[in-house]
Amino acid sequence: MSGENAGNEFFRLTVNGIDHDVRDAWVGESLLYVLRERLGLPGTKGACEQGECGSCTVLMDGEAVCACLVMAASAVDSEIVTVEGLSTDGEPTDVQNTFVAAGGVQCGFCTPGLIVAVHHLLDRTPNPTDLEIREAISGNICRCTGYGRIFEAVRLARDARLAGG
Amino acid sequence: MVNGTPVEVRQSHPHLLSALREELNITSPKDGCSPSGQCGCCTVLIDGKAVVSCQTSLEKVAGKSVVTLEGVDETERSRFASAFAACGGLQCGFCIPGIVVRAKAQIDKKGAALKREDMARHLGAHLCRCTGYAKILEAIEHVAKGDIPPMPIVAGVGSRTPKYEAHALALGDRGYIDDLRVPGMLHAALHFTAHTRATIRSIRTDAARAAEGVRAVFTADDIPGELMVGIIHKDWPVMIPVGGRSSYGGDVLAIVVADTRVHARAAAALIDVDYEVHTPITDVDVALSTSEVAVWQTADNVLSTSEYRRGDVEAAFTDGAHVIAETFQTQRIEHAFLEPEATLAVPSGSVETGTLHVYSGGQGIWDDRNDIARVLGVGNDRVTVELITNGGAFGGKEDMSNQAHAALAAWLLRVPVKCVLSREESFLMHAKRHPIRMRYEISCTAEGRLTGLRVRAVGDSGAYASVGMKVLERMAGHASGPYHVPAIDVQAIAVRTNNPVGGAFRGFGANQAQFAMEGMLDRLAERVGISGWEIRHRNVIRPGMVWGPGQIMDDGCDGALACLEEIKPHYDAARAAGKAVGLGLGLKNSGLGNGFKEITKAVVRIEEDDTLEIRHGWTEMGQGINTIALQVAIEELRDVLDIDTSKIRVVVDTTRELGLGQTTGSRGTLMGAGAVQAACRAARNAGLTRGVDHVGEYRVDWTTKLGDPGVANPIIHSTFGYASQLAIIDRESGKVERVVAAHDVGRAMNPTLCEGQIEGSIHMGLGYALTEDFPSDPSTGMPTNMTLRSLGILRAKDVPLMDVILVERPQPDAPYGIKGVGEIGLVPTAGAVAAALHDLDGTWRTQLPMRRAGAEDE
Repeated sequence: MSGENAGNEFFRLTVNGIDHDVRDAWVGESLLYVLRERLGLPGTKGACEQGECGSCTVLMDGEAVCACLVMAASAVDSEIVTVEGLSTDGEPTDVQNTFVAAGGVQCGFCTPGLIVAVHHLLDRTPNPTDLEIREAISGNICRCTGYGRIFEAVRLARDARLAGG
Repeated sequence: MVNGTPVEVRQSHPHLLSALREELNITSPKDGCSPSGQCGCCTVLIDGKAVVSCQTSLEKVAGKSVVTLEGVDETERSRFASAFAACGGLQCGFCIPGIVVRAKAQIDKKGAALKREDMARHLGAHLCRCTGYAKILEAIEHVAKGDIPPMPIVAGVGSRTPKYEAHALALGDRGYIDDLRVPGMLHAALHFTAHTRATIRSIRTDAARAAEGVRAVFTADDIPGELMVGIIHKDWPVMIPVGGRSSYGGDVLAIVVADTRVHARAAAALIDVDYEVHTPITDVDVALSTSEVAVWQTADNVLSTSEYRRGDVEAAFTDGAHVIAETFQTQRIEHAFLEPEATLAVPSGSVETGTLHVYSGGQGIWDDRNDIARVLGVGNDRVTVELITNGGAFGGKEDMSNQAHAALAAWLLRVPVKCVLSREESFLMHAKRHPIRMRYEISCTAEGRLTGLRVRAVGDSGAYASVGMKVLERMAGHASGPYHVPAIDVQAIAVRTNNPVGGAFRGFGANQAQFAMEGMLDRLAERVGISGWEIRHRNVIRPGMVWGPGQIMDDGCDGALACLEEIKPHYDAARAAGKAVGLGLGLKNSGLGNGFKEITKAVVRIEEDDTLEIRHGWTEMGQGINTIALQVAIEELRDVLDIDTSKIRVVVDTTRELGLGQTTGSRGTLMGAGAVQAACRAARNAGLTRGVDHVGEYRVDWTTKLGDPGVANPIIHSTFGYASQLAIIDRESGKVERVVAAHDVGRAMNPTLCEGQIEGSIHMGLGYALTEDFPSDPSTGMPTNMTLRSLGILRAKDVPLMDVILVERPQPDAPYGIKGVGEIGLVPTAGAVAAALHDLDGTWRTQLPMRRAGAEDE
């Protein structure tokens, strides 16, 4: 790291509704790195840093993105929501509960990214078809479950929301 | 007065914390930032008030009462512990003791009237980098109100108990190693060789040492103990020294330690190495014929030969109504577990007398401990390895990756060091599934009854031994699949090359063998003029029959026929519907077998407050072994102990000698359940004594070696799991639209977890069959697919419908009748898909993967 990059870059990120000042960051740092290493939000996982696994999925102005592919400094005017910010009351969200109930969690490393992706889906498409569910999470690699339990979890969350639960 | 006892301490301590930790050995107050008083980790009670002890002089506390968590009543301690665990209020745990002390002070003062916002204000004195505080406040609220939350619907054997820690996992709360933060922690990055086979002439580290944030650079010269590690053979150098020779692309030349990971990685790139490059040996046939040795410090390119024969194969081939031969080639594939390898090593004390605590996600932490101690040149008693539940492994975390490097750096610098691999480094470093070339010759009668089988197999085991010889041994043992063959002659050779290391990967040789064997069966069925189901039904192994190398199968093997019968209506229905259909039948050993003495232990402790602590020897890697352990404890103790399921704790660390080897071979649930069951029975026999270790043991020490000519009927494995799978392809789209899987697991200890194992395996098995590949460049030995995308892993949208049928034919003599389920799920898959593709287009497949993008049949 050369001296010119290390200096006094300063920017402000809005994460889970809270403004964070990011100081002394190298300007090229990814949003993933800043979330995990500077803001102390380790819920977002890094598994490839290639934008291919979806484990670092976060919401940026409501859109699901791979945090490893977004430069943190370019996210200054955006509302960022991580897995830590999905719940407003500290309790697991409906989607988190259905993941547990359906057995959609094995090693759990891909789970936070999937949870964010599923919230993104259900918030925009309240009654997704099976195909829409599949497409919505096709940016997320899960190596444990084979997706069967995850599909079931999404269906359970969808149905509960539709039933007003 | 500390915790009710008058003490005298030296005057020289800079503050109370130092006196407590360094002289009185009271370590629950943690030192996060002394003496600045900013983190709150060292909070203690002084005359009932919460105070940060690093900001408190000894004069100030003379004559006063100091209370730390060690001095708090056990019931109250466990109330806090339970609430924090149940609420997910702790991750790395470093800040928690101080917070608990603060909470206790508030609760003592206000009781149930303590408001959340007031507590939040008081937590302003504490830093927690992991939790975001919400769960902590929730936990404290529960303690204040006196309602410790129970875990939901946790029950005994056969229940659908939610996965241990599942809520924490779903919240992203449960810390993986990279989520752990320790004060003063530095970051290590590794410099890898640029060439798979090159003599190292020099390693220049000055530019890296001068780079920003760098604290140290270490090479092989800095290793105080042994250079070589390895699960079975000690042939894997932790680093290649100057004068040594690299043997594959994952060899490490130097460790750079810096203040941040970014600095460490940037500086690692500045290591300047002078290589004398040699032509790598990347072809197994070249490796077998050349006089050159591929791998440094080895004598021979043949790693192992596994062979056995029984009956007269030549006569069978002469007399057979149908005799066919085929050569199959399988590919190398990558585990692609989601969590890249990570290790955190935390030293205490001096090099001469101190200790090291290593947080590892490895599949065998006692092996990790032993090898780390070797590298450091110290006794095992000075190294403790604690398992941090990892983010997936599938066999790829059996060998150590960066454990020794993080441990060495921490040991030499006497500060905590964390090392996390990048995805590319993960690809480079850990062992893969073996590519195996298999020549199969087989004969049967006019009715399709098998008479003879000859198999010659050569597996590319890459550079280091890892468990490669065992993979080829398992391939040989499973060569005939779950069928009775009167005459058999098998040889499987593991070859060393400069390709990526071949090692453990879910299925462990059984997948390769049974892809070939199932293919032969389908070819014979066509010759005989019977269905794929029928030929399997005529040859399936049954209790009392002789199998493979001569093992007389026990009653557990009726599972093979049961799976076949369970799948029959689905097979018939799919054929009647005009689908392209393929059937696979498979078996997979559970346990190492082959004469290995497998012993595992477990400890059950019941504390005064009925907290139940279970310690076992197995790695939780998503499969749910911790959940199984607690279900067994509930099953065994619920009639004599009032178990509060929120107070069950599962611990895996090397402070007890419980482990023997790796969490591998589908044996965790089988042996782990056996050991926990035995520990619970020991506890019952001892009258459920509180506060002591009740130890139980489970052993499988009656198996026999493969290929011992003096043993006519070896028992190479104590236990097998069985499965049949049906692949159904839509003739119009050519896509696999459904997989029906009937699995005999002996006993479904937790049907939800069990189904999860099978579905995950089918997904992996379809990838193995159709699209996954991890080739290396023949001219360099370096892997060519260095991104997750290029591996060909099936995405969620590509996964067909999966119907899982659980079959429960109990295994004689196994705890609860368990057979094991970890690997069997992808053993029959590739064969089933190959048969379905043949049904679709009339072409027999001999190579995996069968539908790699760009391949002709895509």
